Amino acid sequence: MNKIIIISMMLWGITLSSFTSAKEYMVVGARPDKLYVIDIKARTVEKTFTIPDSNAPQNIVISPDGNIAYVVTNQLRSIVGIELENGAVVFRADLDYKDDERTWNYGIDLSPDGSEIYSYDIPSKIHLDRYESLEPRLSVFKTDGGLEAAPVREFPLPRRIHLLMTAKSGALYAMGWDFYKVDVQTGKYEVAYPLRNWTQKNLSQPDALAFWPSWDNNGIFSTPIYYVQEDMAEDNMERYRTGLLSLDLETEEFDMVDFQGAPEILFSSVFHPDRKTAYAAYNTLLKIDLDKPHTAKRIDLDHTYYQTDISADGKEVYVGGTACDIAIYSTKDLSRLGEVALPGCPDMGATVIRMIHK
Amino acid sequence: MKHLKPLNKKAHALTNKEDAQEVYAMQTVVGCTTSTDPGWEVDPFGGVASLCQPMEADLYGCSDPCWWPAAVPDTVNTYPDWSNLEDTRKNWRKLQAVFPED
Repeated sequence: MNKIIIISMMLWGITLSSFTSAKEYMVVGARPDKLYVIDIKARTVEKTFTIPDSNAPQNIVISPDGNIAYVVTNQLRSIVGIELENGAVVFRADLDYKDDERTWNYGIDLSPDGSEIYSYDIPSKIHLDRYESLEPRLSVFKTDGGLEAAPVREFPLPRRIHLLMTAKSGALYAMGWDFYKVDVQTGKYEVAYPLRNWTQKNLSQPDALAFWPSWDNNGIFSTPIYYVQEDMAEDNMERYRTGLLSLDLETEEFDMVDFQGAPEILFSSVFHPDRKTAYAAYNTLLKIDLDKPHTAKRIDLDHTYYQTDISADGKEVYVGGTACDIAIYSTKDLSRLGEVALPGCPDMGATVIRMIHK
Repeated sequence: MKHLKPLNKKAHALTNKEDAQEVYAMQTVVGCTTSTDPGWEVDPFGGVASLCQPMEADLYGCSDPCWWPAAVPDTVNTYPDWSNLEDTRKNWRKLQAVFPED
């Protein structure tokens, strides 16, 4: 096991060292229809593009070469591909591709080679007197499908999925009430890590709000997760627990560490590239020691932020989403290093941060 | 039904619709309303420290993915252009109410 971890760390070390030769950018969206490319180390917005049919950009995925941002737009019913060099729209998939549907996307990722898009679609049929919930599905599009891309494969998936992530092997993982592993060629899926159906001794069913991609600079998905230690006395506040659930997208191994009680809500987390610490945010920003899991430091934030992310060199932790600013803190001591305010102060809302290297 | 008279456009349309179904209670959440979380009044611990701060920070994060349609207009389906403000922390007085249309 240790050998696998060491090899994995070496591979990521090679990957990260290649990042250092390229310039690091942050890509974010904001209401109603803007996509920003930020030179994060210079603290400046370098490019601004307009997203077609957008009132509020949602999820964003970047092609492996860093050239195209695929953005969920059109009130969750379309995916558009925008070139980050010039803003040209080079891809579009409308998800209402069956008759008489109202479909929305609640998860998106790319194949490792960037040739396919995976979209978790939730279709409804709107009758005059009722909504009819149709079967959720995985729609697969080719990224070279142009401006009227049609799905090349589609498969039914369970309900309540809200986040997709592709492992290096090409396997697709989907987080919902359980964590599923999906074969994108056959549509066959299995529970890779039970959540609602877990059987962790003395732990209640867990709760998590995992919408944010946190793996761009570390290769590992993580999210805060909450549960109750049921063998503790009911008047003991320590029975309410907070953990970090993670999935290594290289080795495809899950892990969960319990690091504190539940003194606060945390929406998102990100691992340091060295995997020794993690950071989590909402109204507070935490530095979490992963070797001996505990909260090493906590600071108050000036307002709520949804997403936590980190620089490839592991020196800066970023918090964003909600309002119009990205705040920047030192990973070492959580001291404030700076911020980037989006021009005109448009709210980011529930859109996401992605980190790229070009 | 013979004692009921349609009053608005949708009710008239339903009267003439042959395959209209009986009304029944929802057994599962459908459409936009996929969350049954409480509003912005109290946090999971019964206090206010873990509410979004300020409320405006959470405004579009709730309306855009249709998270709390009971508390804010549904900008996914019915009111996509609702109060499209910049910097709601500063401009919250300009937020508008919405009214169902016939």
